[in-house]
Amino acid sequence: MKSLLLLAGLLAAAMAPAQDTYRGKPGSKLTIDGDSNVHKWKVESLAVGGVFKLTAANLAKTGPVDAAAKVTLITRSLKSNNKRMDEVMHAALNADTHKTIEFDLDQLMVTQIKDKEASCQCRGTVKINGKTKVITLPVTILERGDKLTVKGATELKMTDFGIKPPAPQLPTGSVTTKDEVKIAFEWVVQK
Amino acid sequence: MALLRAMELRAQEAPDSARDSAATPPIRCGLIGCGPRGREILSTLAVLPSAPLVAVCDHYPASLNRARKLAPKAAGYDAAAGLLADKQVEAVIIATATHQHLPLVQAALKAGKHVYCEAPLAHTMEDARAIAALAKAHPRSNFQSGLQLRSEPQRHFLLPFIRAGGLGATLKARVQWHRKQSWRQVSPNAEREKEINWRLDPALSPGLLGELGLHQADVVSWFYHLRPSAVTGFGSVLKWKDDGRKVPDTVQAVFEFPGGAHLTQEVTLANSFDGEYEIFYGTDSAIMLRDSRAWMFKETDAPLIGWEVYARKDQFFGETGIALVANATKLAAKEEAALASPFQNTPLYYALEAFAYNAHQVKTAVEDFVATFGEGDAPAIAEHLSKLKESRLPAADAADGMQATIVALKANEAVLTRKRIEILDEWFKV
Repeated sequence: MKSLLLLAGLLAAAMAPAQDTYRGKPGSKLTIDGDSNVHKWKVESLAVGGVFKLTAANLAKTGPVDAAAKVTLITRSLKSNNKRMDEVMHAALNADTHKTIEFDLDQLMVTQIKDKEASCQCRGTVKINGKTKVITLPVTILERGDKLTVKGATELKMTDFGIKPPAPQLPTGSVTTKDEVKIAFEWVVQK
Repeated sequence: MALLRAMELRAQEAPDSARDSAATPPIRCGLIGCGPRGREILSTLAVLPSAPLVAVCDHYPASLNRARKLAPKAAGYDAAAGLLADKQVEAVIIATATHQHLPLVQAALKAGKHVYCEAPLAHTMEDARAIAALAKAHPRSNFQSGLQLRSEPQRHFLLPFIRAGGLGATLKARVQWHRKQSWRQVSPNAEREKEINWRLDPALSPGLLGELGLHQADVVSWFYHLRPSAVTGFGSVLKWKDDGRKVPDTVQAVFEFPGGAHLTQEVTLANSFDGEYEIFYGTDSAIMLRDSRAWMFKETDAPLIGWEVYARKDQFFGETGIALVANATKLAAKEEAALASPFQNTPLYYALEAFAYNAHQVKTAVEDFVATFGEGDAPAIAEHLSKLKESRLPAADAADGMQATIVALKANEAVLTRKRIEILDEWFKV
């Protein structure tokens, strides 16, 4: 009986479509929008890489999807197009010590499908400044040929990751940065 | 009639909040060419923490020794190949004679160095185009043309003001560079004297418009966001006839721009009156730039902008007069503070600062690209870097340098041939 079950399991595994490995490609980006007592600010990185393992066919039906993903972003690649602000931001993120910002996927659940775009809820662990936090966020995954485009947005607090909101001194006075920031990303991966 | 009161146009914020070169991770530099220009660069690098000079190169022993005395920690090389093989050197500044630039740029880019090439880029259109093509083919290296005014903050402060129509309708521009100096360098060695006086050799010299005039002419093209469509020139040897030179010491050129605006340029080595300036004329006002300061002269019928009511006004009579009054020193000192430009460094300083910072930006962006996406081909990396262009400090790239060089060389040709030369778009396609 035991051998029979094992055989059935092996057959099921053999018949299930194999997971594909997708890798981050140029065209990806992540933006962080924040606010301060002076003006709103925005930083962006185009170096969003990592690996996404899943069977794309499973995105065509609602329910949990067996998938693994690790998104990696090089901390210093976040740019504001302002030299001084970049220096302040990279110092606040301890970019020299904590060279990457990471997200490890735990769970992925397809909630709705429209055309070839799957609306999903995902849960994972985000690591910034060496500190981790489990978050859940909605994402969409669009399949086009051998490419997937994963889009999503969420809000985070800098202090949750041990980051003191920067308060640089300018000739016009000091700046107070708000703790809350909005993260938005577009992660392009290809087989 | 224009009002005889000038309003100074100043950036409101000292630029230091955005410029702290000490905070920029350093890019180790090597200097090729230690003549007078090279030594000026060397002195500027000495006060720029983000661009430590680690190597100097000149094939002439006296020039090399002099440079090494000024930069004792830098390694010395008598051939460029040695400096380019030095792994300590990340970026190269080329300050040799103009006609020597191309092979040095080629070798430096091949060696994976970032390159700052003095302007003009070359003494021929073909070399200028070849340099621009090389820079394009090596996107992993930051290439900067030595059009230093493109990095100067006062001009960047003025750019949006002029582009937004602060002058009214564009009419014309006038630029001038007046000095009294022979351009001839002296050496006890006849062969060396011939070599260092390449600017006076008609076969090699880009002329006054090529060597000096291109900076100001480029500012006008840059502000107008247009390339001249034709140039006419005149020139003569008027002051320095005794040494038998053929390269004119006094030149004028008129550049025609699409739409009808003209630029009149005058460069002379025979008279220093009124130094150097750029003036932009429009239907509502004129703007004059001198060094790192600028003034606007409004027409009486020009619309009121608002802020000019509160701006400081100076009287202008073409020259600065020394006031012979009691307490002149005290008053002068007070005035001096009020007159001081918020930009205390030279255009060369800002250009080299931008070069070091941008080289660091390119270097890290390429490293991050490779770490994230793996080794990419040149077009993929070039596309990635093009999206990061806004994160760089303003500086002239290879295309800017090629355009300014070709236009200036054609202006020099117009002077020598006394002809009107049409400037063709196809010359600028790389």
